[in-house]
Amino acid sequence: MTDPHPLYLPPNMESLVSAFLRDQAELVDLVDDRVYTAIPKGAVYPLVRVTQILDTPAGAPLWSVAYSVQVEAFGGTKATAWLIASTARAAIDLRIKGEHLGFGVVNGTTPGSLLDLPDEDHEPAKPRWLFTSTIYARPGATVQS
Amino acid sequence: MPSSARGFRFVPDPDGIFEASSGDAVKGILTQRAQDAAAEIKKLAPKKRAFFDYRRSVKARAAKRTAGKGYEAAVEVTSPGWHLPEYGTSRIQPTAPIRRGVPLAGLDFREGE
Repeated sequence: MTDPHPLYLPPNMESLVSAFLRDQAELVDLVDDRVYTAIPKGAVYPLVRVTQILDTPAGAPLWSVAYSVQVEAFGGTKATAWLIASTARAAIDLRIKGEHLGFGVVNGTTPGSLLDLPDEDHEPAKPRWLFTSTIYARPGATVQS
Repeated sequence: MPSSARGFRFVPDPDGIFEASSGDAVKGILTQRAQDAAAEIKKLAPKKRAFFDYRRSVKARAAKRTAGKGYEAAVEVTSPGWHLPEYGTSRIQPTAPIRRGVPLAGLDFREGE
């Protein structure tokens, strides 16, 4: 029996982006380490939530993937929420390209529009700005199974 | 298609594009694509929540001739609560039925267009 072909897993982009944002000094100044993929109960605001919306493989064999990732900045004043979202967008656009150990390699990004969409779960609605960026990535040497 | 010393260069003819996009075959294709997108969005839409009936509010609009643009088809979502599953809230994780459904139907999706 021949050895099975090794599996190369494209990165878990939601985890990659949240780890990346927690490592950005400008963002730490604004939200400490409060960058989540699911907002915990009793969370302190302001905070950031990262959600992977869609992953679209470039084709076969499975290697390069385009991810749509929504990043939201909740809470604080409207200006603070905008600053957090804008900082996160700029960091992704300018710094995320390259290898991320344990995740994979980011080849490039296309930034999305910043949207002002207050959080209606609170009365009055809390400020929230969000954007959806497209991030292109592939497996890295560190994620071979 | 003008020729040059290095071969041929394709120059789109605006009149030709309008003629092609105005044909009856295009009308049927665009309507079908809108129906495909609506079907994918409905699959991803949440079940009825409170008074928001998300799935029933998704409708494909048959292609119509528009002034100067040939045929255009559309998908409409009429429920006022669609932004809740699409972008989420602090208590609702965004599931983006529209942003996921349209690409899954094989169509490009760009916000704001």
